Amino acid sequence: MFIRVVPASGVPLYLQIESQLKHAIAAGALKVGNALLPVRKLAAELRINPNTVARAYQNLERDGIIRTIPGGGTFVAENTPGLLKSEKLRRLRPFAMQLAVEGTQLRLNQEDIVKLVKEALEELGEGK
Amino acid sequence: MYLWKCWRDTRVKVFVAFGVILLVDFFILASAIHVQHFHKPGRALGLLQATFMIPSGLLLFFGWILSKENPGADIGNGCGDFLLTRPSSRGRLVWTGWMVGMAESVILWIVLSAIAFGALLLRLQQVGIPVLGAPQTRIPPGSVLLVFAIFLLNLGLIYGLAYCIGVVTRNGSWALIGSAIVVIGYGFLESLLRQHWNIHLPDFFLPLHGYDNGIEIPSMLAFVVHGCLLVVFPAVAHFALERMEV
Amino acid sequence: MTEWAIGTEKLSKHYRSLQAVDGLNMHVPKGAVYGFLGRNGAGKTTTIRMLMGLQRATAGAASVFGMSCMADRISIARRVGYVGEKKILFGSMTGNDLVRFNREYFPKWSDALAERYAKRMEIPMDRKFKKLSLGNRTKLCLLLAMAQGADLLILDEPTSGLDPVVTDELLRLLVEDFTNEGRTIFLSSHHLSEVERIADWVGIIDEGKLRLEARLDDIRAEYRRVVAFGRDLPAARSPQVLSTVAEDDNRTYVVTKNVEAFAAGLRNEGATVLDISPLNLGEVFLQLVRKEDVCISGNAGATRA
Repeated sequence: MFIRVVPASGVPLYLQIESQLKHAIAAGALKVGNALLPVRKLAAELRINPNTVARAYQNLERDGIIRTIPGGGTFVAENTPGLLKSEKLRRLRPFAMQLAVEGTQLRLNQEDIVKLVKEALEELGEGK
Repeated sequence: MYLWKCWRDTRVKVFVAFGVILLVDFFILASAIHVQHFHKPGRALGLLQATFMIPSGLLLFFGWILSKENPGADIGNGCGDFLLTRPSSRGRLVWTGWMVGMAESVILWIVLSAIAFGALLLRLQQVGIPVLGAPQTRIPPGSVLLVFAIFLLNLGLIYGLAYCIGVVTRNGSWALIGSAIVVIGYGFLESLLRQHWNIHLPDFFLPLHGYDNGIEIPSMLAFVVHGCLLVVFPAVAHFALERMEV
Repeated sequence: MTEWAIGTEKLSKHYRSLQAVDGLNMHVPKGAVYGFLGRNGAGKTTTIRMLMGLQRATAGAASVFGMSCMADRISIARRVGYVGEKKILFGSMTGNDLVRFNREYFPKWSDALAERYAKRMEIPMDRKFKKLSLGNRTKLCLLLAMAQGADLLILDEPTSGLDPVVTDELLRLLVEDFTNEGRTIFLSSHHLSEVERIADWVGIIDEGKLRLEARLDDIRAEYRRVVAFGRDLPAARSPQVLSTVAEDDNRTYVVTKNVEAFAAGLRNEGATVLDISPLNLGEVFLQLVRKEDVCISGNAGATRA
């Protein structure tokens, strides 16, 4: 699998795995029904503790992004409603804030920043 | 297992010792057997006794050399981390190593003595001397056992001493050097005391003297002391290893 | 009360003038991969040697699976695969000989695993040990410990002398074979990058004392480095402040939790918080083992010549 973790970055490894998987799913590189590597295999490939991979998978499953069949494997799940929209927006807020801060530091105006976001969404959409 | 390791480490020495002593025996016996001497009373007996005494002496030297292999030397070589973390008691290591050395020496003694004795018998028969029948050439079985016992106790003394020193100093070379110093030092002390103050220390080794009608039997005390030392030295090594920090 | 894989209680080792290990209270949970970190001479090897019964503690106690390290050395040795610091085996034996020697001691020994490790780590098994390179010697020591069927691996600097390819292969093998069924790995190292990959717990020892014992995830998620500037900055350690170092007019803190509250507290005292950033293991380690600066802030106003 294409996942790569950077242990020395200070970002928890399980978060790195989660975000890379989310990105791949959002971009369409992983489609609904695609199988993910089992926990132990991915851990061995990455040379990291299986507990870390397990935690990432657990979190993704809790958020409805992936699905585990007992004894059958782990797969990308259908787009679940799962969370309330308000909760989803709440989760996205820190990223929006980060973008806003960076944009302001660079003295970009609101229009440019919004345009940037649109372009990113389009790029992701092309993958589907 | 440690027993297998001890054998592996010493087997070359065993085979070399076997070959060398066999050769020595051969030369001595070949040159010593002259028919005309054999009609002197006790001569045959003396020769028979010598067939046991030569391996005895040489094997004591061999035992001394063997002491170089011991658990202390293994630790000194850096293998302590590995050896002492195997699930085996430290005492077991000490006694196994000691037993292998003792057994090798004893078995060599028995085999070489048997060969020498058998060869001698054959030669004497060839020249027409009845060995086992004639009174003046009879060997009391007791004296063979006596020679063996004396050998065993002397072996235990030198091998045990050297082995113990090796374990305590964690060094095979010190096993040899240390024990040599003790033996030589004792000899000096003995002669010093005898010459200047006329004090007689007991012999370090049990003496093996052959006489016309047998072997001089050492005193009961000497037997007991040497018997104790036989087990005391490895016991001391055991105790030392048990307490040792690596 | 769950049993620790390894537990120490005020463990100490005192040499004539040196306190090599000083009141160590360490706990390794079963099933963990525990990285025991410290500088050279910090006391890692001494601690491990006490766990394996090679040395005796001068105070305190150590236990493995609930068994006393001093009294039950042999029972412990049956369940532990150990690779020491020195990595020396019998010189005249080949790898195959050593397997034959070692196998007898362990009923759970697996020849299949031994073969697998020999192949994966590329160990020449029919060369005498004294003729092996340092890397091959280390690999062979590891093989003997790993094929044993042990419940706990205690590895002292397992990657020293190994090239990057072999190190990578070793980490892979450890993850594949030893991170399941509740088996525990305890490894000491000063190669933080490897530990950071596979460990889920770390214990940092310095000058014989345990400075930190925590889950690696907690360190990543909650530990933060705070740099502040100002007068009379607090210089004390606390449960929240793991360490603090002053440099010029700044003070750097390693905060273990609730960093926002801590930063707010500093601001309330009039200090400026310059930076809050996550820490990796290396940074935490350096913060902990570098000597603390006794410089007291309050030089504000002093000018450089």
